[in-house]
Amino acid sequence: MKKFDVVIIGGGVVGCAIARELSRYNLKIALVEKETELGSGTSKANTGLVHSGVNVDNTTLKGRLNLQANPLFDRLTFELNIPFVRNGSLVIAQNREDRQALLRDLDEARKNGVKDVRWLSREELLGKEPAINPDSLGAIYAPSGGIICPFEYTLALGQNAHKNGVVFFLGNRVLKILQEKDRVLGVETERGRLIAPYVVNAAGVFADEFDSAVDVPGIKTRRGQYLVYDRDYPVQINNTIFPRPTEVSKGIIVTPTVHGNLMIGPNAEEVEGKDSLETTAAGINEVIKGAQKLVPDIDTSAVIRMFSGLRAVASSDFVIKSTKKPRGLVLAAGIQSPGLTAAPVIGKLVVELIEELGLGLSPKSSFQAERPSPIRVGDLDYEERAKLVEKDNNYGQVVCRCEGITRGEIRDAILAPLGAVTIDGIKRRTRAASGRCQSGFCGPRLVELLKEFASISPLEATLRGGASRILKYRSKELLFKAGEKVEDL
Amino acid sequence: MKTYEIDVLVVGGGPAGLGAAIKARENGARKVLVLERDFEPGGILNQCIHNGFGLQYFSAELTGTEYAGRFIRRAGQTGVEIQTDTMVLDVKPSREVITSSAKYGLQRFQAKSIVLAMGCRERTRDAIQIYGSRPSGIFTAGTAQRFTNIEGFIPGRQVVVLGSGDIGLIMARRMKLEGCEVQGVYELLPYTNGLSRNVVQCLNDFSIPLYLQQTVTSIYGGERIAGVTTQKVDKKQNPLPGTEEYVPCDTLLLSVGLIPENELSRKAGVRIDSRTGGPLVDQNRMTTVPGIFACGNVVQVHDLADDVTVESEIAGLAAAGFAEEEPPGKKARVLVGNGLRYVVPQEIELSRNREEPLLLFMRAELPRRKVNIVISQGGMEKLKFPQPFIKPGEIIALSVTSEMLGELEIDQDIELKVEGGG
Repeated sequence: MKKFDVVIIGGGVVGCAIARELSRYNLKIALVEKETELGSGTSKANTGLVHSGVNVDNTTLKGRLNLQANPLFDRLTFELNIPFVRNGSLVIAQNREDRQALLRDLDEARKNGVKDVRWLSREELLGKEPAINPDSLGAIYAPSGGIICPFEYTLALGQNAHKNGVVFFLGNRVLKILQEKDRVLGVETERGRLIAPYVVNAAGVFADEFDSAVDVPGIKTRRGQYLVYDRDYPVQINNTIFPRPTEVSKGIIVTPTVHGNLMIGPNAEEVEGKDSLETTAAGINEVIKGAQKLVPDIDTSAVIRMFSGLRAVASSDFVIKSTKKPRGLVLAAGIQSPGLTAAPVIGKLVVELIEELGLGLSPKSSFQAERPSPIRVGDLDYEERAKLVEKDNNYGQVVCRCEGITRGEIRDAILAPLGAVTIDGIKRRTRAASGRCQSGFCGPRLVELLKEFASISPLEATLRGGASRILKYRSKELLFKAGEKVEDL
Repeated sequence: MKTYEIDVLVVGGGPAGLGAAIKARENGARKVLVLERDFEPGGILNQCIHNGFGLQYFSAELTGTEYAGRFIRRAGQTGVEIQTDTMVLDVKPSREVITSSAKYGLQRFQAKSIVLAMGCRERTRDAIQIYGSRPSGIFTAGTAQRFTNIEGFIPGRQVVVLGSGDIGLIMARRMKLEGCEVQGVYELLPYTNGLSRNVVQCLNDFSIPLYLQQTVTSIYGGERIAGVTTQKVDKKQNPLPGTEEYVPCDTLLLSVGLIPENELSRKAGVRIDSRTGGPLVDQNRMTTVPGIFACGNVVQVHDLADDVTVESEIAGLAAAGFAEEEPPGKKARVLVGNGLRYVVPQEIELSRNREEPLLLFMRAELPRRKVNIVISQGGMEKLKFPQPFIKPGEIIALSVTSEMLGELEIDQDIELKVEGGG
């Protein structure tokens, strides 16, 4: 039986941000994640945006947290050594009604302190982004809007928390939040109990699953579908392009990713079930049509990936609070958009809530805010690269030809703390297999490297854990009679 | 980084690259270097353990590995150097090449001429937009072939093949030979995309059903693929509502098209033909950048390795003889007319006296019987090549003899088209 001060349920961006914030103090902290890789749920399948705070309602918690969080990203991404670009956001007026509404939103954004936000006339807009629909009537321009890699962001928060002493239990599901006399005792997991007087529920779409007696709102799931384009796709934009938002969502967005791919999506559809990650003809067509309203030249000629992501919806707002019954439980639930942006502030807020519940906090002098950067060979010029390869020739061998990722980078991703144990884990850390051939060429090599550096045999290698094995049999295995083995031949 | 001077530098050590390198070496090029990213030369042939190679070029029936083996040996005998485990990062129009390798570090080469022979890659699930979930168990046929034939593993036991390209047909049979249950090969078009002989030898002989004008429209399964929805399609290839069928499987193999790999060609500033997806080349397989040649599947996706060899020898010979000082002759354009998808080469220098016949490769748009391929200039019919049967899945190769070439005006564009037939 292991004892901690705080147990966090959920290793998505919110759970990892909370873990990192708590790791600034002298506490024993555990994080439990049911998947074998961090960031396997909502955090892996979203738009990857750091929202400027335009069009937010500052009477909501999610609006306020968005406004507070945006300015923190320069320092945070510097500390975590992850790519981040303030590429700017444009909210397009597609008709007069949009323009009137957006001009009001612009006033609101100024009052809310959104940095350098201003109106662009049609001419200024088209000068800035020539690919935009020429029928547009102008746009709100917020230079502080940014793009980030959601995988690396989540992982870096987790790795930094790990460095500062947080204990991670991956591939271990929380079955139940343990209570006694309306007080939290810890959690029951698939692999035993973790005892702690404080538990944080950051389980995303699964936040309502642990114990129905607990004061947790029901979580609905909203699905969004996306398309990602080849980096060589001639339709290119620099800013993140939004339509005027609706009551429900920010609408279908056209954005570059931080790695230079064009991406469009999401639509918003209520779905049953927490694993409804399908793409559908209707959903994808809705996304393409929506994107074409903003950027008319978009088609499907260079699509390299379609995917869906789920948002956890508890109400119209985030639910971040300590429960009355039981005491000791803090919820960070219903974290829909802009959760990726708000995560660092959610972390701070959860720390405050736990302190209010009575946990004494003393800052840890040994806390290290910096997460060292992994080596990214593609960022080096040829001379630097030659020197690196001289020192360690693993960086000389290109494994993923589409993205130019080397054996050294993949090895590092596997051997790093909280390292990759699946093909998707390698992909999210290094971008190997995320290019135009979608692992056609490097797939067999990645299976080999998992064996070499993580001792995972090819027959045990999975796409993303569980039963998602890549290979099911040895050759000739199916030809044997029952009881025969390859070795018998 | 040290710079190495090379006469003919070949990017890619598959059949195209090896064929070009050997030919260049045999024709006077002193320093010929092949750069190969894999650990062994031979390219995709190393995983082609089936027969059917070499019937034309060697008049012998070989496996892919045997076919590659002959070229690897000949490369050694002729003094072609091969550097494996070496990835080309950049090719500049000035014929400077940068490479990365675990064995050799970063290297810079300055070549008198370059032959691009990078081959092609397979079209993916997302490129053809199959909806549904994203489980494991979905492979391009070539990747599954590598796992099966080189790595020693088979992906699953109940297989659906989408697409009737040659690799799909070969892999349908391969999976059957491994003891898998092959549910069928589904083809969007009303005809197969592979060679007729592969349809017979891989599907018919093994009782694997072929479903024409049917496709996979959705994928099911949470962690591992559990099944697919297949649907019939109309003449415009749109799925017909009401024809959905659920086919259980634990493996889906895709053989839905090959795309020439021209990322490096683009870096080199070479013009790409949108019809072939490969560099625009002349009859010597020189691209639009002087001194940079291309051959094999990087130029056009061939059906047969033997044709790749023929093309690679054209490129290798010309690369060996390339002299920068010599101004290029005037080139006529080869225009693609009715009934054809593309023609290679896209430009021809008609002025030069030729002893060897000029080879024209092309693909038909639709299957047709008893047609003529007509070559015309300025609207005037000049040459006619009768063809008993043409289909998009089989390349048409026309050999234009020097006498026939005498019929053509040397300074006029030529047009090829399909006439007659049904």
